Amino acid sequence: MRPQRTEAIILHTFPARERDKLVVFLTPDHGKVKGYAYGARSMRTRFGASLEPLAKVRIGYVERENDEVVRIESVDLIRSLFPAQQNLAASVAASYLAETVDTFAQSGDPAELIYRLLDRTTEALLAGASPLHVVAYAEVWTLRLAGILPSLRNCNVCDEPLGRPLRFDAHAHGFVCPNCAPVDAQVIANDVAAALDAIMRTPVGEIAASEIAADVLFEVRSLAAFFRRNFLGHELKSYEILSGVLRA
Amino acid sequence: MTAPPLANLINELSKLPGVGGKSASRIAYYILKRTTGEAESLANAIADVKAKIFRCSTCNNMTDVEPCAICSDPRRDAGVICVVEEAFNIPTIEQTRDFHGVFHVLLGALSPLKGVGPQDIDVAGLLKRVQSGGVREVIVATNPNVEGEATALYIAQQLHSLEVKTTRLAFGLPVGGDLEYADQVTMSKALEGRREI
Ligand SMILES: [Zn+2]
Ligand SMILES: [Zn+2]
Repeated sequence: MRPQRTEAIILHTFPARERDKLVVFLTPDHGKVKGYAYGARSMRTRFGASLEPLAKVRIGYVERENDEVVRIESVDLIRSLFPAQQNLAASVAASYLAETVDTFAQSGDPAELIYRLLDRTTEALLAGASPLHVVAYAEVWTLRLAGILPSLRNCNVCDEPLGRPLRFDAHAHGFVCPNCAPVDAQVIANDVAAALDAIMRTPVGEIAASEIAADVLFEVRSLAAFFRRNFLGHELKSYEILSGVLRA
Repeated sequence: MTAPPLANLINELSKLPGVGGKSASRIAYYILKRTTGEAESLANAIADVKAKIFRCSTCNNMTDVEPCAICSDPRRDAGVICVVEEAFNIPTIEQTRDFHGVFHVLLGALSPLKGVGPQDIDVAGLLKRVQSGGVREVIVATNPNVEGEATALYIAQQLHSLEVKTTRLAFGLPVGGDLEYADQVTMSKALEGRREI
């Protein structure tokens, strides 16, 4: 029985037994952790709003021998997603962020960077940032942190530096130079490449406040979706729902 | 080794929500000890519920008559519709005896993480009822959590252009609870929903 106390962000909860919740949360030092919160579904729960998705909390839990599921002892709410719930697109975008991180974060290993990404992007949604900007940012960075995003600087085939316009070759799974580009390589518009560059070097708050146009971000998202699907072999469950809400 | 018919019953019981392997086995042995008549009446009740219960075409409540007992009750006020996520939420509201309107069951809540989007819950049925006239108020009684809030917001958006008052069930402090233990979300929702006394 090892007690732990750490900052965490709630990713997902499932009803368990009569009144309990199975909670998946992300911690900076131990990655993704699964734990039972006993009595969390009862109306008189002492956990209150602190176990809702994307709540930022201080959580105390006990690791049990030979059990990957921990027992959650105490949860103090630092920041709730509820204020962002007044906007449907922000609310669905937040769920999408949670699923993205849940899919890519590992259990057991430190996850400081992806934790910080989730923390900052949720913060941006709460501050009223455009959900489309925040989501595009999170998608590109998740791929980057997972090591799936191909280089924007060097050709994916011959490693020569890449100029502009950027060319995308689906068969090579990345960006290629004019010499390596097949005839059907997709030429990426310069403003889309510039948006990708900006996302790589700018905090999410600045991207959200930037003038990057929606159609440019839709292009960025479709590139990110290509790499993600290619890696996962499927699309995220909330992807279509988010697309519907962002289009509306 | 457990005899196959008994193992089969335990296996079926353990698929029920909230029933683990141990409870399933306890229930199975309990059934074994009852008389054949008692066991048959349990089996018949299960078969009966599947054969005779269906969804009310108006409100999606579980019923054995069409429309359901609530929709067809002339004493109920059809001008007030209380929207709930699931049919099993209805008895909870009914037992207060304070609500005299009718219901609409959404058959779920918006849950992007489970792949449940606006098309997967029955908001269209609700809109049709409101559009057909006579509805003065829609009370949204979805769960007080992230999914229930997103659902309530979506319903409010959809009803916005129709001339109907849309209200949300109050959030707040649990009766019998202690202020000291309320977190900031519960407290701010309770402040938001305060009333004059
Ligand atoms: Zn090359
Ligand atoms: Zn009915």
